[in-house]
Amino acid sequence: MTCPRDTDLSAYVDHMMKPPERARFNGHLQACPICQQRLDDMTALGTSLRALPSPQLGFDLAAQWNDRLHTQPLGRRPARAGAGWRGWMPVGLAGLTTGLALVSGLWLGGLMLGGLMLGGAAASVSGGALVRVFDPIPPGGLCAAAEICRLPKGMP
Amino acid sequence: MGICSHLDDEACAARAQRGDRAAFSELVARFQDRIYRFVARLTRSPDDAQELTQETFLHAYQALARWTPDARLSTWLFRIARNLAFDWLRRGKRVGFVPLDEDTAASHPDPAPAPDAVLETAQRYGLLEKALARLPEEHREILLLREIEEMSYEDIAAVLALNVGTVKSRITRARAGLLDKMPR
Repeated sequence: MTCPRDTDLSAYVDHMMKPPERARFNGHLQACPICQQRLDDMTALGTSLRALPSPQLGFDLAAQWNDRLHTQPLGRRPARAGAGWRGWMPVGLAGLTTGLALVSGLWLGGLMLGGLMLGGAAASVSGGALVRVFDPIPPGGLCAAAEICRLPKGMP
Repeated sequence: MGICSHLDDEACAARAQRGDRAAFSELVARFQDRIYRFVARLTRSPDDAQELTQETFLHAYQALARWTPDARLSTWLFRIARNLAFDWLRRGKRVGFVPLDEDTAASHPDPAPAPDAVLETAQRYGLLEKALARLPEEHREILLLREIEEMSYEDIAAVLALNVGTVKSRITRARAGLLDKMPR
């Protein structure tokens, strides 16, 4: 028997040979130190690879997954590289928060300006109210001196 | 004790398919370390491997309805992980590369004199990790699946979408390549 190819040696290491073929191969190995050495090298390589220290994930992904499943639906990718599981940002929630901030800003601005920025009709109705916002005495406040608080003619 | 700890992977996945979220969590617990070590060695970037591991399970969860019990769950998960890792490698995201346990003895010197055997083992691991890292990705992945995950040729063929004959010849070339890179 001529020396087998590396493919056959590799298949022998992995027990992927059929029994008759394996028996024939065993016979050759008894008489061929070169093939025996090559086989030993391949076997030792597998043993060493299996003995390598295994890299560890470093945290319990299953527990985080479980928490996440119970708090919000899945479907988002990590917000940024390296952010990991904790960095996942619910986009809907972020959008809602931004929207609320924008609306409340507009509402407060409208309140301050009496609606001037929002439309002509509102401006015409609240023109007097706008002046009163900047009066020395706030609406409903007590008047310290009658001459200060006397309303000019034509004021509502 | 998990809700389907008494079930095999496929039965657990079938429960997860029916909407049992705890069953999917159980599967994450079973596979998280195996998927991580495979991806970490494939990408050689532990931080990115963490993220890719998370993405693997997210993709699996989203695609769970398409999984059929005729495919082994482990090969299905490894296939997702492998595809994500190769997408990452193709995008050239090698910034911030951190060698994986490279030369452990040199990078974490022990002030106390180490026993010769321990030092020798650490050096041997270091050399093997370096040699493994220098293999082409196609050879590295197939050796990881065969030697470390101890998958059959058929399972490897399913993960890598190859036929068994190609798996056989590629494992041979990968072994020969790694032996060539190991110091004599």
